[in-house]
Amino acid sequence: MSGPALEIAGLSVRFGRRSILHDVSLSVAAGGATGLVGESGCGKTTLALAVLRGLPPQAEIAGRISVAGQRLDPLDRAALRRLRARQIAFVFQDPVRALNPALRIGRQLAESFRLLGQTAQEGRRESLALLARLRIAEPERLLRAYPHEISGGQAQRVGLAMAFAKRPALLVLDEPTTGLDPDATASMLDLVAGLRSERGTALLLISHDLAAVGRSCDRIGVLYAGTLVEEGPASALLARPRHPYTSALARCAPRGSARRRGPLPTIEGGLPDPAEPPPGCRFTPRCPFAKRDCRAGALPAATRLDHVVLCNHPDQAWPDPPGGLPASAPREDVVLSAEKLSVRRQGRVIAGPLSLRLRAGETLGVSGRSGSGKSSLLRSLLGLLPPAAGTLNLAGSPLAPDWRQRRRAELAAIQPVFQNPDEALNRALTVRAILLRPLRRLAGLSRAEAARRLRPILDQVRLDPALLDRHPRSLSGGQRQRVAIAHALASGPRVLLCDEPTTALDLSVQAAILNLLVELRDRDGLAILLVSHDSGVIGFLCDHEIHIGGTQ
Amino acid sequence: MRWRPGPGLGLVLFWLAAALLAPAFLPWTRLDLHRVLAPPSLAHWCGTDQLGRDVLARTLAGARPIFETAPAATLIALLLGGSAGTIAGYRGGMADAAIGRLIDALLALPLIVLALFALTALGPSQPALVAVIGLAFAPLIARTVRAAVLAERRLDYVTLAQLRGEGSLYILAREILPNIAPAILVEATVRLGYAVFTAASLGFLGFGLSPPSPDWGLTISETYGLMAGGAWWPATFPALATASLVIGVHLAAERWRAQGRP
Repeated sequence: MSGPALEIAGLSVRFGRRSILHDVSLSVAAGGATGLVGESGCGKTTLALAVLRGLPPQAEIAGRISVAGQRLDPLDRAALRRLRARQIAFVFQDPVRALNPALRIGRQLAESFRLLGQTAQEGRRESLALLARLRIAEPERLLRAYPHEISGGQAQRVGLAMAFAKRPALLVLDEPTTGLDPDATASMLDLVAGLRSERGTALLLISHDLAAVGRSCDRIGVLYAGTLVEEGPASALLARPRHPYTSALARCAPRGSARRRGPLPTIEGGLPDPAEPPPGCRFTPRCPFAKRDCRAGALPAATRLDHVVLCNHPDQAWPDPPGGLPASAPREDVVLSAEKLSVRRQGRVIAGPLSLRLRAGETLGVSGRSGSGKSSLLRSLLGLLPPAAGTLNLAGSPLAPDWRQRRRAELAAIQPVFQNPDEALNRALTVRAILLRPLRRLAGLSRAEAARRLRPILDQVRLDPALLDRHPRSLSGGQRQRVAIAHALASGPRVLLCDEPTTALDLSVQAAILNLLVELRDRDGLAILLVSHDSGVIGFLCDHEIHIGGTQ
Repeated sequence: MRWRPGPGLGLVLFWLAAALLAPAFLPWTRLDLHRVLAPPSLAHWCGTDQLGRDVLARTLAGARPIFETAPAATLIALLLGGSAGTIAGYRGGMADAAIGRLIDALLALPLIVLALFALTALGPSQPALVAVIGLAFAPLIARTVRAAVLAERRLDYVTLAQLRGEGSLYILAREILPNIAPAILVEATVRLGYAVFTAASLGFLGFGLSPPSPDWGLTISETYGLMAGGAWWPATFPALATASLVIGVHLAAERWRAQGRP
């Protein structure tokens, strides 16, 4: 094998009038690692599918893709199968759904070896060796299990084992760490690095997380609205991003504390409509440095050594974000407290006993591995999951452990914001109907009063009133989470209980939602409990932190 | 996406029109013993039957009893099965277990056997036919509705509604129903197709209407013996009519489902 493991030259993909990828050139050196970063909807997954030649037939594809020196487009089906079987490995974003639920793990793993012409016995032996190498504690037991019996982390290792059954020239990982806690992320990336160096496999790592990509890749490409806006060595690109989009992405990751550093920089606006991309640079509508020449004509690629930037004005420094609200100190009054709470799920005590106090204008972070009972704690406070033991207090008076026994004012005072706004907003209703109901029901307003309250609540979460008559499905992810927060605010709560409120969102959208939560806390004096697996988010938002590590 | 009618809806509307216009065909359905079993001709496009009645007119008029039974039976199935499935899916626990076993028990009995028992006990009549088919189809609809309600109940918007102190009836009617209504309506349309077929089958077995009704099932059972003697037309045209209406309803339901909305 000679030359790069993957070479993409001038790749454009269109679906009818929609331009999904535009003139993308990218390569992954043999044995090297390249990261591909960008917001959701910018074309990352389309690019990955193009590398597998797995795009649907209606896609119009232009450009060249070579894997291990072999051009993809002239290959017939048999040659393509051979290439996919031996040279390219792919691990999907959702590893559980990538497994066949009707077959045992062992059978599915063995298939990967059979493809390479090995016998069942050899396959089984190598499966066990590979799983042990991937630090699976009881590989024999895992081989007998069905996909629904294993955890997400185990499923991901099974996916990796399938990928490394061969000695692939190229491994494509699509968002491998989404939804994993930091420990799991680190160990997963370590395992990949170990296997890669052993087998000389090159890596294309697709992620929305610039920092995670920076840790495991030697080159990074940044994709925006289907164009590769910047590509270069990881260290140089991270130390000094040249494209305004890259530098905005790097800056909107939460770090430090909002109390000391003020709000996070955000990228205003959203991705352009792929059917009508703006002329010239596609980032122009959201770029604070855009000049007239950015809006016209093709862009010259500015090249500094092997660092390519598609921008007329590279090397711009981003201004500091507008100074935030004056840092306010938490107030003294305890709004919600729990004493010696034992969280119980399915008849088993999974966390606690623990005690917590939440004051007005204060944020308490709850961290812990996945499955440690973070979300269950939040559900216990909401009264959805009555605790095994312990007492709750709301503003000095005892609070029933079961929501059915709570009074309306108590229900109104404690409001949740869940992780996934798609599930928290009724897709059959308009935003108006969604927001009116808590105003009528919990705040006890008349129809006319409730209608008048809509506007101030929308202002509070910075939503455009024009969206009131839209359905949730037609909103962006960030707008949906704002509607979900508005629903929580409508009843006039004193406490917000947020369960991973930004995990389902892009980094730039996350920054805006985190800023909103800071504002609600500092300006409106809300008490916020935040469950998160992201230490950056907790550090940014929280005054105190409790860590849940199973029963103590 | 805008909904466009397809061939299925055309077939259904054709037979609906025939059912509405049935009295207009009466003059051709009189007995005429001089023209018994005349093969299809220009005067009688589909021939005449053993009593000299025009087969085309009787086949068209036969749409009426079907349209009087199948939709009503489907509606009963929808109401019975819909409520049982909703309670099972939303309440869960004991209610779900009890309703689930009842559904299993009803589905374990072959539909025709169940219907024959009930119609023997009640005596064949149109209301009895409607009730029996409705009851027989209710468990299938209950299953679909239960699964749909169960999937919705797990979503956070239902939790949020509960935490607003909403009653179960409000949550079911105003929050959940709008999301599952399309699936239920499609299921009901599919059931309508089967109801046509079941009504015709029971008519054929003699548990539907009595002669001289032009009911398709009944007519086929009266005349299929004549096929051996070469008179194929009196049984074939009602059979084709039944098939075309069943297929029409299914095509319409499939198109509806594929387009994702009513």
